[in-house]
Amino acid sequence: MNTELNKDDERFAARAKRLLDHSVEELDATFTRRLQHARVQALDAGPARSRSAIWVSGLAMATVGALSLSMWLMQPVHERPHTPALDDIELITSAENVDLAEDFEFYHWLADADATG
Amino acid sequence: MSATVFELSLPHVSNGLRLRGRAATLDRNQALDRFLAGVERRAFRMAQVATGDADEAMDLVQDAMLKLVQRYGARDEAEWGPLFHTILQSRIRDWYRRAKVRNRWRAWFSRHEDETEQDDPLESVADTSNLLSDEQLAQKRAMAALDQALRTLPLRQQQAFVLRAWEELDVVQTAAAMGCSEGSVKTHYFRAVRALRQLLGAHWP
Repeated sequence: MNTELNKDDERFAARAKRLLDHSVEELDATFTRRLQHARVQALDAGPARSRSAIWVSGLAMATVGALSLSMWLMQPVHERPHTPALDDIELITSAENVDLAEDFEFYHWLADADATG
Repeated sequence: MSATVFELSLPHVSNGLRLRGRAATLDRNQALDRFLAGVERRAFRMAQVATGDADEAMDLVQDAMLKLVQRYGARDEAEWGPLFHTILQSRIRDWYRRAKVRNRWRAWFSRHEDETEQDDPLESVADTSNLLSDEQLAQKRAMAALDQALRTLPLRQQQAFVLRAWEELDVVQTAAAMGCSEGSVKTHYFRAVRALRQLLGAHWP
């Protein structure tokens, strides 16, 4: 199919272009203001973060999280200081036992006395 | 951390780079502003011709502007024109699809209603004959008739006509904007011109 325009077609297209150009110049001031407003809004919105940037930042956060977790898990477990058993505490705090402990010297002397006899 | 060390060791270089970065962003924003200011009114008229509705046209242009700034603002300035038209024409095609579905439903609900007469394009021209010269009046009427004729064209022909005849994009750029082959652009444009000439005929004021 021949799609070449002839001279009349071209003249027609040129006239249509002039008219359309003219219609832009004659555009209502209300629309012009709304267009300006739309342009300012678009420029204020600024560039969107690209998908790759979102992926990279997500990956970075995940890596930091994984590292923190592994460091926490791998830290050496410190020996807990030996905590005295409940019985020992009772022994220490009981008044009777303290008396008994004071008599240790007497029992030692008694044992030595029996041995030498 | 390395950036902090760099800033601590060479603060004047760091500040210089930062200022240069800000200046580049400002330049780009100004260039985008100039570009959009140059195309926005034509884009609006294109969308208005396609939709026949000023508010719909405004929304389409606003969407296209936003997308250009957000997605392609960092591209080379020479690419903005074809990219902007590609976005706008894509938005117009989407609008057409939605309108088609809407109209189908509307037709289904109102199939028993009487058919309304087709509007006379000249009736939509405001009566400003007292204020305008004969030449201006003729121009307004010619534009109204052209608008009406363009609206009767299939979307692809309409797009090919406004992009080739009005925006003066070449065949390759038009094909990219329309999302079709170069051969299709030639065919659509040829058919559009012939159809418009036939529709407007010798009565075109």
